[in-house]
Amino acid sequence: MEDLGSTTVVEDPVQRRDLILVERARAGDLDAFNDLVLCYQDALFALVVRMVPDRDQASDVTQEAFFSAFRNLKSFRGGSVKSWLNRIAVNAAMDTQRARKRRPVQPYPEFEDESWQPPATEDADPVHTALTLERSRALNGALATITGDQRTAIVLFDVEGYDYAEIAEMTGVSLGTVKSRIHRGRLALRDRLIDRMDLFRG
Amino acid sequence: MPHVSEQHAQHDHLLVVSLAAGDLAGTERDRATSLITQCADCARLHEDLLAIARATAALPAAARPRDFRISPDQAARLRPAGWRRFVGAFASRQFALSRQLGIGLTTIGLAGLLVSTLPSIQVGFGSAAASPAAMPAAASAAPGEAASNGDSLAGSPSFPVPVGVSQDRSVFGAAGSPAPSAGTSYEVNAAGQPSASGGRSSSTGGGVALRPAASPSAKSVTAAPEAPNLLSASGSEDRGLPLSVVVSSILIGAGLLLLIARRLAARFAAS
Repeated sequence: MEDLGSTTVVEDPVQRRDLILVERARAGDLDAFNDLVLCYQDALFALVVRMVPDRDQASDVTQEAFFSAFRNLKSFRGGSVKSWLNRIAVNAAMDTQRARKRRPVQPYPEFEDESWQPPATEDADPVHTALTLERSRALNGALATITGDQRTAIVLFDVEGYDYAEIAEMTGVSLGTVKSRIHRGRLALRDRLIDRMDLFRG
Repeated sequence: MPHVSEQHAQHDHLLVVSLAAGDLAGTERDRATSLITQCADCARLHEDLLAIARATAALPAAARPRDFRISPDQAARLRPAGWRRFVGAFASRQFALSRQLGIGLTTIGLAGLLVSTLPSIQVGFGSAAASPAAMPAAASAAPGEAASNGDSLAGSPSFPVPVGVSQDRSVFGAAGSPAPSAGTSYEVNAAGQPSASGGRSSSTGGGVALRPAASPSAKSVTAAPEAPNLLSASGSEDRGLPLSVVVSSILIGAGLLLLIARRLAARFAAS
């Protein structure tokens, strides 16, 4: 088994914790792997559900991503565990998008369910909360209608904060293609939201 | 829908998008900047794109519908041991082409097998079928001699002897012809070359020659074509399988194994 080694030199406590958990999971400790799942399942589902805006499908894809990570623990070569998991989830989501493209079904549903509501706090301004909710609904609805490639690129760039090169490596396309997808995707979003842009301005 | 000027429709919107994304430099950046300063719609587009990017980054995370932790049962299935682990590897991405490879190997093997065996079978049956009178002629070529010896096929003029297939005595008997005497074996040379061993073969050259085999205990009549004798069950001149047949069989076997392994792996993965 490859020794991750870097656990001794990593200064980031989160990354150090992750590497220790991965090492234990590699040695057959299921609880260690499930600790990793607990740490990242929210983030991974949030990422996947933006790429595959059907909650049931996104849930299956997320579970499949964790299965895949568990099966391929030995292929982890060190570095950021979060990036490794994100990469697996993005691949699983892209597989689902491709399958959906080959066999078109109903368009993605509008995001009307309560799960998209931002968490309300005691001192939250109700007007602001309502505006944020409405904006999120409109934007998620628009995101669901652009192409899967454009959606993936925009989510990875704007939401997850990856740069062009990282997205190109993750999605297996050129840097220019990534830029083009993001630019055209944003234009498409603006076209779909043009009647509701007052929600976003100011 | 807000009014959009005709002039704005002619502008390069992707340039404005690139500017909003911060991807421009030099002259292109200058061009884009001049666009948004001179065209109100381009300026509005630029602002909107920035607002959409901000809103996208601030999107609240969706609530997770369930727990994704892996149960011990699932873990056992995901990391199988023994032969299941070996077969399970065929479901991985590295073996994505194993199905196509299996089909290809099987097809090539079958084609090779056909190419290497068909000619011999055709030649064998062809010569026998091409001259239906040949065998009877051969069999009855020297009736006197044969009959006098009592160990020939004389008296069965219409019996076709399949080349390469051993015939049991009882079959001859069932055909209504006298069976060869016990302890005598005959070989039918389908290539039309009279076999001279024993000195009792037909001299008519009708394509079939009979000769007693060396073994006195043999009780069958064996066809021995010149071509590879694949089907011979009791041939006295077994020369083994040709290389092409062996290779083809190996290819078929390997192809089928790949297909079966892939199928099993897919089944494991699905369960």
